Amino acid sequence: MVQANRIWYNLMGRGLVNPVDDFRPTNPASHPGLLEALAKDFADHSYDLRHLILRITTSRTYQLSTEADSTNNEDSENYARASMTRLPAEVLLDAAHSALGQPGKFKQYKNIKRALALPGIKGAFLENNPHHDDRFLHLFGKPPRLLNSDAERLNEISLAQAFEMTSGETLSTLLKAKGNRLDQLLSDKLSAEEILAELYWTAINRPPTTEEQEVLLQHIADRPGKERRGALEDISWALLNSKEFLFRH
Amino acid sequence: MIKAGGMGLLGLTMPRILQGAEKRLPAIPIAPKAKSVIFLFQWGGPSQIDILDMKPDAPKEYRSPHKQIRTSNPDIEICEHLPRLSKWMDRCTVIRTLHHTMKNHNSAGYYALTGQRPPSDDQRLRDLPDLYPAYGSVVDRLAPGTVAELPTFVSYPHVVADGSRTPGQHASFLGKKHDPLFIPRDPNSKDFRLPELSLPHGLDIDRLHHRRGLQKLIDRQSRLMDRSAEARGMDQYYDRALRMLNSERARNAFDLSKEPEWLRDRYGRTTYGQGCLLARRLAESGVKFTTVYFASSIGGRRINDGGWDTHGFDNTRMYPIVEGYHLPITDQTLPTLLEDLDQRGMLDETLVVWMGEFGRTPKINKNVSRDHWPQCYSVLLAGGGVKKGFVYGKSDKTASAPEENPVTPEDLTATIYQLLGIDPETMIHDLQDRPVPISSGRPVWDVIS
Repeated sequence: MVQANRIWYNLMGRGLVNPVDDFRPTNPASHPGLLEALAKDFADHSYDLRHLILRITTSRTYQLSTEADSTNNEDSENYARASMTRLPAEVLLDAAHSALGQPGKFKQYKNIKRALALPGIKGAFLENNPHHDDRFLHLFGKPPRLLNSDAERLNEISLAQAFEMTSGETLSTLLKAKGNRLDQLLSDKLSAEEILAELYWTAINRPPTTEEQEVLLQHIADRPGKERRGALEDISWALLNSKEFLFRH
Repeated sequence: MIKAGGMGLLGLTMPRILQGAEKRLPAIPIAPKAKSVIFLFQWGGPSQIDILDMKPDAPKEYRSPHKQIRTSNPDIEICEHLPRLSKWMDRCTVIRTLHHTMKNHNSAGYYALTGQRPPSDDQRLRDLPDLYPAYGSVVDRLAPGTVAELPTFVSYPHVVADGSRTPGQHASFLGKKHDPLFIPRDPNSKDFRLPELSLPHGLDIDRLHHRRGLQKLIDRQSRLMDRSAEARGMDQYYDRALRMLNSERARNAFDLSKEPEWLRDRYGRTTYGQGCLLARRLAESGVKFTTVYFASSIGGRRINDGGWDTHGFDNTRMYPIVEGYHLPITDQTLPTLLEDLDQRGMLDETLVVWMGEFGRTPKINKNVSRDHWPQCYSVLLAGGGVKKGFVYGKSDKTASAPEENPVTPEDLTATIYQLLGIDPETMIHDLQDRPVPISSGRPVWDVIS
């Protein structure tokens, strides 16, 4: 049941027992029947995680949109709409790296290039002089694993995070990195429209709208020659700081 | 059917029951005496019997090898190694009867930084969100500072730890937004600057504003902020971050190069000394609660390094360290801070708190040093509405136990909140959403002028 709850929590953004892993008589599940059914189904299929994930992701509940209207705006625990949650630290960092075509770098784990592949917390918590990627993870909520509970991770938002994204090292290093996606796009001699589309699809998985197209192409046109890269950095920054990028939606 | 004297339930007691259920009247707002607090945390535990509560008539095994000197306050004499501080004792209040039962650094440290008793006297007390928040975070939650570009709560330059990180340094269950602006940098270093307020290479504030404009354009298309309070909150943080980055005031507040060299010398060119100077500067700019951590480690092993925890282990005896380092640096920094605040007309509205997490054993140990002693220790307060030249509480002959007017850390906490104009009985909600008071003690009214 605990495992079923954890998988549900990871996929839906909120456990049926909430906080996740806080199982006690005074904290019942929001939908006890559902939790029991999921647990039984999980057990009946030899505790196959992929089966459980398939079960949940093919459900109507999972596929609900996060769009709010007057009937479901206030809902937070009845799954009347999907919950919009900030991406967890590792996912966010990896997504940013991936969007800009750069591998990650973590102190204490020399060969690991993705935050999701990190086997431990040494870099983020035990290192005296962490790499800015490690610091990013710590700042965005990677937990020190002191507790045996997934609730230890807090995906809260904070001012410090806004600072990190605005003037901090991690993002600005990514944007400026030589040989990153921006350099590739420029050297491939694509048109401004093509570059813009490529940035949009890579970061937020959609094409630019008419309004965006107009404003951003102008932004690029206003910065010709050597300044073009800077223009692309600005646009990439905006994309990586958009709510569409930072939040699951 | 309980026959409990006829009228019992329905007569006399019912009105009282009803009264209990009535909502309390809103508290009368307390006029704050202190606009800001500078909390100088003496990690490791300074010895009461060697500094502020000396007992020259105690037996040799107890009393300090140091002599006392008279001060500007005829009611108190302090250690001979604090001559400059002695001239300021007429402006300070000393409480000599702080006491609790936490013998370990992390548990006692948490108690000192939050005013809340830890669940156990555990050295391995884990910094989990069910523990209480730091004072400054409570202040940020209940009575934040009024200068928009500056944080309410700033702390530096070390993370205090003894093995594991000491709880009580951040906002815990109040949420990250009430965390301090923590600066893990050395104020004495030439390139001391706040990374948050520094623009990345090649970017200026105009460009950052422009980028924000592009970000807003993209957000407008999806209207995701309509669906999520969290997304709206995040958006507000970007505005706040930009405002602070753009703020001359914010940048100046942290810029020690703007202080005259002679003043920087007077505080002493040490991390702690410049930290005290920074605290004055921040209070002046409008930061409401500044915590300066004396050291990251409990210390007591080397001269010029670490906190007050002089047990005398491994031949690192207490008195050479205390005489060669702790007392001189205290005598250089504390009176300078008081003088600096006073000369700027800030002392009456700035509460300075000088304390550690406990005291030290009144009986000198076999290593000619002292171990932990939470049962009776001293705290120094100045400014911010406390009495000038006052001693509160009397300890016994050997400074081992309070004899008159004991004070708990909860009471001290209540006093600090009271002076800031925050009702110590105000409720906040803990991790289980239970309402809990910010202090379970009562203000020490006698120290408030």
